[in-house]
Amino acid sequence: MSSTDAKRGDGPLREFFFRRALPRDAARREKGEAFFPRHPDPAATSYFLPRGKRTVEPRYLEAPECPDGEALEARLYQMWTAQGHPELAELAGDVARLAVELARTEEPGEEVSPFIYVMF
Amino acid sequence: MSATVLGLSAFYHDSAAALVQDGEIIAAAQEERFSRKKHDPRFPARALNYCLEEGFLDPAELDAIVFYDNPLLTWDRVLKNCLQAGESAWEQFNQACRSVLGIKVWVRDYIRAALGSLGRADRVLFTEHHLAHAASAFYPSPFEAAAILTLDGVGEWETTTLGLGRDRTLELSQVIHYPHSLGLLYSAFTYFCGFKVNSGEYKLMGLAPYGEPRYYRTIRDHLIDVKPDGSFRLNLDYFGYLDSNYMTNAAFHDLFGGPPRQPESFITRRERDLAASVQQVLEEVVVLLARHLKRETGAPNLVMAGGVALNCVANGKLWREGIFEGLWVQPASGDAGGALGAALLGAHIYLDQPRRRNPNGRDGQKGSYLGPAYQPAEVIAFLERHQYPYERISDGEVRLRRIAQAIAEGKVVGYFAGRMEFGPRALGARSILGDARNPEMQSRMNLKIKFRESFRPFAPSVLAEEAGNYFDLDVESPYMLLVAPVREARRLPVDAAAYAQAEDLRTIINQARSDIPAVTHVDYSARVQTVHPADNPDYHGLLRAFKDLTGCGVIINTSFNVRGEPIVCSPQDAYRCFRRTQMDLLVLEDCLLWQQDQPPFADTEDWKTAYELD
Repeated sequence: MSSTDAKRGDGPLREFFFRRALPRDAARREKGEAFFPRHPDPAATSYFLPRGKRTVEPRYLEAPECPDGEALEARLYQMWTAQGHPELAELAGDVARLAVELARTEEPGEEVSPFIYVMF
Repeated sequence: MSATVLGLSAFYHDSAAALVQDGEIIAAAQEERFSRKKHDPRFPARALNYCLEEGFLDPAELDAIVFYDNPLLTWDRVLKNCLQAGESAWEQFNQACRSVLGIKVWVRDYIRAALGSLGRADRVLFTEHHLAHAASAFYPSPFEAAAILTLDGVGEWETTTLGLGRDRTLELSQVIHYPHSLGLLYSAFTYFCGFKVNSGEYKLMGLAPYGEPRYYRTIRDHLIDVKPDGSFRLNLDYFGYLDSNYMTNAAFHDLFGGPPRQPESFITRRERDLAASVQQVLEEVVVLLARHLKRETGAPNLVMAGGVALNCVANGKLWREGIFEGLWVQPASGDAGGALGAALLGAHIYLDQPRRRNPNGRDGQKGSYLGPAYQPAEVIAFLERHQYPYERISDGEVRLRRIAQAIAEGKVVGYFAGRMEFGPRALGARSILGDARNPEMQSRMNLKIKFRESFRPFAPSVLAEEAGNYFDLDVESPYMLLVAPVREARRLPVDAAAYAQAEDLRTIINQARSDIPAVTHVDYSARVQTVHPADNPDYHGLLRAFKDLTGCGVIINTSFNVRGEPIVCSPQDAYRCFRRTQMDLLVLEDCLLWQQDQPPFADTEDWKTAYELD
C-alpha cells in the first residue's frame, strides 16, 4: 500500500472487501464456481461468446447513468439480479455507499501505471 | 434536424474529446496535447473546451453528451476479478475501487462541473468500450458495409469483438471476455522486455524484426490456446494482472529464463527473440480472426480499432493475405478514439442522424487533422512578442521549395502546419522531417533529436501516387497504419553473417538496407504514410517539391516531440522542442526559423527529467 493510500484511509474499503464481499462470495468459491475461466479448454471448439446485445438500441445508451447513490444502488441491484447473482445484488447498497464516500475523497490521478495495463 | 454530439473518454488512459455535428466529425483532440502530460488519463477539460470552440458552441447547445464506456460493467468486472482472486487481490481492489467507484461512476458530475450544463437533454449517455471502438472504426470509414474487428487490452469485459456495420447500423455478434486478451498478452511481453505498458508496445513491435521467433512454440504451448476460428484463451497461471500490480508472474519468468529486463538496460537477444515470437503469435491470431469474420459476414471490407489495431506490422500482414478487398483502421485506435466512437454512436444511433459518406470516395476522418490550428497572425504575434528571428514566406510554393532544399541538404526540420493530428501518429502537421536517403539520418534523429532508443525505425511519408515505386503496397496508407516491404529493386545487400552473430543492435542498425536507408527497417519493411493532396495539400506539396528537387518522393516523418513528451500542440510547444534539440529549421506555418539565428534559450525546466521516459 502506498503512503498516499494510507493517508486517504482504506478502512471502509478493507471492511467491505474482507468482511462483506469475500464472505458473501464464499459459497460460490466453495462450490468451485468461477466468474471466468482461468485456463484453456482443449475440448472446446471455439472460445467465442455470443454478444448479449447484438444490435445497439438508443435506450442502451441511457441505462448506466447514475446521478446519485440511490440510482447507483438500483442499477447495480438490477444488473446483478439479472445476471443471476443475488449474493452480489445484496452488496449493491454497500457499494453505492462506498462510491458516495469515495467521490468525496478521490481525485483523478495523473499517472498511468508503467507496470500494468490499467484495468479500472 | 441538426444535431451536435460531444463524445468523451477519460479516467483510463489517453483521455480525449470529440465533436460530431450532423454526422460530420468537426473536432477531436487528446488531453495530453494540452496538459503536456503523456497519456494523461484525467478528465479532458482542455480538449473538451477546444472542441466546443472549434464548433462555436455553448455547452447548453449540445444535443447529446456521450461517455465512451459503461462504468457499471467495469465495476462488475473489477469486483468479480477480485472476488475470484481472493484475499491476494486486496491491493488491486483498493486501487480499483478508488478509481472506478470514487471517480468513474460520477463522470456526470465532472462533466457538469466542467461545462456548467449537460446540454439540451440534461443527461449523459454511456456507450460500451468496444462498441465505441467499433463505431470509431466503421462510421468514418469509406465503406457502406464492412466487417468490424476490435481488439485491445480490455474494455469493461470485452477484449475482442466481431461484427458487421451497414449504413447506420452496428451489430456486434461475437466476443471474447477478460481476462483472455490479445492486448494483455502483448502488454505482458512489453513489460517483460523492459518497456512501459500501454506505450512500449510500439517499441516491442519495432524490436521484433531484430529477433528470431524461437519462443513462438513456448508461447503457443503454455500461454495461449488458439482455435481454428481465431478465438483464443490465455493460461492465467502465467500472468500477474489478476491479483497483482504486474503483468507477469514467477511462472512466466521461469518460462522465459529469468526476471524481466530492467528498463533502459542493454537489450539482449532474449528480448529481441521474445518480441519476434509474440509478434508472430499476434499476427497469426489476427489473420485467423479476419478469416473467420469474412466467413461469418461475407462482407467485402474490414474495419478495425482498439489498441491492437495500431500494430501496423500485423495490419500489413493481414492486408497482404488478401482476405478482404478493403481495409480501414481508425487512426486513433487507442482509448482516445473511444471519444470519437461515442460521439458517432450518439449521432447515428441515439439521434438518428444519417451517416455521412464522403462524396469523393475517401473516408470521413479528414486525414485525422481534427485538432487545433493556429493562424499565421497568431504565430507572428508569438514570435514578435518573444523577438525570435524568423523569415516569413507567404508564397506557398517558394516556402515549400525552401524547406525541401533544407531537407535535401541534410537538415532536420520541425514542421508545424495546419490542424493537429488526432491519434498517436504525426502525419505532417506536427512532424519532424528529414532526408530518407541519408544513411546517417536514423541514428542522428534518434539520438540527437528524439533522444530515444537507437533501434527504433523511422517512418516514411511518400507521395500517394508514387508509393508503388518505393514499396510493395497496392493500397493507400494515409494514417501510417500499414507496414509494407521496400521494393526489391531498391534493396541493398547486407552482411548477413554479421547480422546473425550480432549481440549489439547497433551493429545491425548502421547497415544501409536500401536507397532510402533511414526508413528501411532491418527486415526491409517500412511503416508507410501515403500522402494524398485531398487530405493535406500543403504536405503533399512539400513532398512534391522534394521530389522535383531530388528525384525522390519519400521523406522521413516522425512525431514532433522528444521521448516521453506529448506531440507538440501550439507554436510555443514547437519552439520549445526545437530549441531543446538539434533540429536545424523550424517551420511555423509560413514562418521559417533557423536554429543558428536564435537567441540563447532560457529553458525554464530540466526537460530531460520533466518528461518521464516512455
